[in-house]
Parts: sequence; C-alpha cells; structure tokens
Amino acid sequence: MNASAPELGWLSLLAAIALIAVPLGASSRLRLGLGRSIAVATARMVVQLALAGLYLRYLFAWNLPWLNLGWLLLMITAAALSACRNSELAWRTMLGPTFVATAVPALLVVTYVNAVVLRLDQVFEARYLVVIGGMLLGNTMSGNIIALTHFFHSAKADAGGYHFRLACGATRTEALRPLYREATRRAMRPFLATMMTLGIVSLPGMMTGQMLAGASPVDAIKYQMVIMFAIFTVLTTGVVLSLRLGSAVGFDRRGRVRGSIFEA
Amino acid sequence: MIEWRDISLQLGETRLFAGWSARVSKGERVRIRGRSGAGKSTLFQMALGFVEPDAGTVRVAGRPLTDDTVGEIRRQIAWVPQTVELGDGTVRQAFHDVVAFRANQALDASEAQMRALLERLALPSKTFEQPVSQLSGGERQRVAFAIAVLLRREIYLLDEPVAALDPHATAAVRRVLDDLGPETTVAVILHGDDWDDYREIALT
Repeated sequence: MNASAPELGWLSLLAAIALIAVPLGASSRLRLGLGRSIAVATARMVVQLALAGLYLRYLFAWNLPWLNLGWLLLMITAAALSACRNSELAWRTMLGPTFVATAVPALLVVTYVNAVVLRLDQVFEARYLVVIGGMLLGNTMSGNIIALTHFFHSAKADAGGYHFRLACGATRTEALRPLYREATRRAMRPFLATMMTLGIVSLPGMMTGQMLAGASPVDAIKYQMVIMFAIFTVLTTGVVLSLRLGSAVGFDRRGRVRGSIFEA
Repeated sequence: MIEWRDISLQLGETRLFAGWSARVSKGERVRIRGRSGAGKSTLFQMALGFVEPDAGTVRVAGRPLTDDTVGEIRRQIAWVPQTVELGDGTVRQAFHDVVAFRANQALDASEAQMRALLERLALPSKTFEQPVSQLSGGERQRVAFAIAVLLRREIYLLDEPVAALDPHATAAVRRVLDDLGPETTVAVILHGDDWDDYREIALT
C-alpha cells in the first residue's frame, strides 16, 4: 500500500495556481493596488522553486561536500543581502556584518545537528546541509530584518536615552544595551509565538511536507522538534551578532548613528 | 573651560550659528538665554560631541573636541537634557545602570547618597522606588541631575532644569548647584529673568 500523496501532474499544478485568482480578484475589488506585486511574487516563486527543484536534484545526485558547502554559503549571502535590503539599510556597509552574523551560527548549528543529533556519516550531505540550512536561514533572515530595522531606527529617532547614557560615561556598547535588548526581544517574539502554538494552530510546512510524502507523523514530529530547536538557536545568536557587528560599522567614533547607513 | 569658537552650523533650512563664539571659564556660572529654536540646546550637544559644527571648534578643558578626545570630554561633563529618558525600570535601576558603567566603577556612589540627593532636590522619598514612567518631566530631570552630581563631574550643563518646577523645587535645585563648590563650572539654559546673578550668554 502506498501511503504517500498522489503524484502531481502539470495540470494539477495549474489548478493550484488558479487559486491565485482569488487574492488577485480581492486586490482589484478592494483597490489594494497589489495586483502587480501578486503577479510578480507568484511568477518569482514559481520560477525560483522550479530552479530549486532543478539544482537540488543535481546537488543531491552529485553530493560533493565542498559544493554543498559552497551552495550553503551562497544561500547565506542571499539571506544576508535580503536582510539588509528589507531593513532599508545600506547593504554595502551592512552586508559584511550580516553575512558573518548569519554564517557563523548557521554553519555551527547545522554541523552540530548533522553530526551530533542525526549522526550522519557525511556531515555535509546535500540532503541535510542544504535543506536544513535553508530552514535555519529563512527564519534568521526574518529575525534580522525585525531587529536591524528596529535597532537603527530607534538609535536615530529616540537618541535621547542613548545620548544620556553616553554622557554618563557609558561605552557605546553599554549605552546601546537597552536598544540591543529591545531589538532582540522583538526579533525573537514571533518565533516564540510560533513555538507556543505549534501543533495547535499550525502544522509547520516541513512536517506537512514529510507526512504528505509518506513519513509517519511520529517521525515527522521528531524531525520538526530538531528543526525548531536549531532554528531558535540560530535565530537568537544570528540576531545578537548582527546587532553587535552591525553597530561596529553603523556608528561613528563619537557614537552617533552614521547617516549613510540609511542610504539603501 | 568650554569654548565655542567661530561656530557655524546649519540644521536643515535653519542657520543656527554663523561665526559665533562664546566661552565659559572654569568655576563660572552662566545662564544661556534666547528665543526658542535659537540653538541653546545645540550648544550643549556640540560640547558633548553629539552635534558637529559645520565650521569652528569646540574646546573643553583646553582641548579641542575630536574623535579621540570626545570620550574623555564627555566624562568631564554632567548633562541634564530637557527631556530625560532613563529607561523603563525604576529610579533605582536607572541609578544602578549608570553606576555600573565601567567608567564609573571607581566612583563611590551609594544608594544612600542617591536617596539623600533626591531628598535635597525636593523629591518625595518614595521616588527612588518608583518606575521612571510614573515621574513627571521635572521629576525626571531632577533624578538625572542627582545622578549627574554623584558622577562628580567638573562641568554641569543643565537644559531648562527648572522650567517645570514650582518655586520650592527650583530653590532646591539652585541650592544643590550652589553647593557644588567653586571649582565646578555650570551653564544653565533658562527662560525669563531667573538667576540674574549668573553671567548671561544671549543667543539671538
């Protein structure tokens, strides 16, 4: 007996894409002005996923550790770049810090998961490195966008408390501590909320996918837990590092936010 | 002690200073007056290195303010801004936060000293345990002033410290300033004709 989902044909996919007509219709009816964005986002998603299907097939087939690792680094670059862009910060200045802040925890944790938790023979195996890495990166990127946006915005807009602490003898790091704290909290909260309601409100995509593909719910859930702990760890350390490294380039020697950091 | 020399500064559309100079000598008491928007607070911001003039130099304690000297200069100045932000904890936490800065660890500033100062500044004794968010603007300024006094700085820059205060509290602030000793330098931004025993620096 085959428990897995029916094979999807092209016609079935087209039938799924047809669903987009509903949000498109809503956008036009309610004059949301999002028609173009919906069309572009749909097209991009389809093309990107198609390409992903293609490259993953080759990555899985070749399974060369250095290539897998190189691919992961490419994904990290894209995640870091997107974090800079979406927090409306100058990527030329911020890409370096954001890249390091994302890469270090992501590589460490994915290695830990593969070597210690899953006990893979080959730690950099494509199936695990690229797929798990991607899940870690997506969430860290979202966290970085929230944290960096809030941090630099409030360092500029509500400089009062920050300047007062500097005047009271604080180093830049000491003076920024409350801002670090608030930005980190804000970045962690959505994921914490997800953890709180997991299994009640939402069944995460990875788990759903695994179960649709025929895995037993218990196995899918175990993997999901592993992933959630890994994501949470990378998200937290990634955000903390991004804020620290980002403020090393985002402030001048007098402790003022550089105006150039906002010139996206 | 503080010198603004040939300062020019334009913020947005407004030209605040054009070749403006003034100085405050060591031990002097000065009041700064001028219409609102004339740049009174900006003078303090320049002395602390938060605002950089387009032209001219700022010197504090004989040294020009540069990227290298700004840290040390800030540690010579006690600043009470017009709007004081002390975090979202209690006054006690705000006090401990400041005392815990590495640069302040050699200071001996105790809770008892802080409480005594708050009392001298005509604040009720419960103030120390109160959340900062429950304090009025004038109360926050006095808390900031108390912290500043405990940091034992040489220069005091107070931005309208008594604007929101009743005569009793105003007199209390004045008494604490008078007791700071002749070697401290004080510049106060004031409205009206208060404190006319202080030398006046007028901004137009």
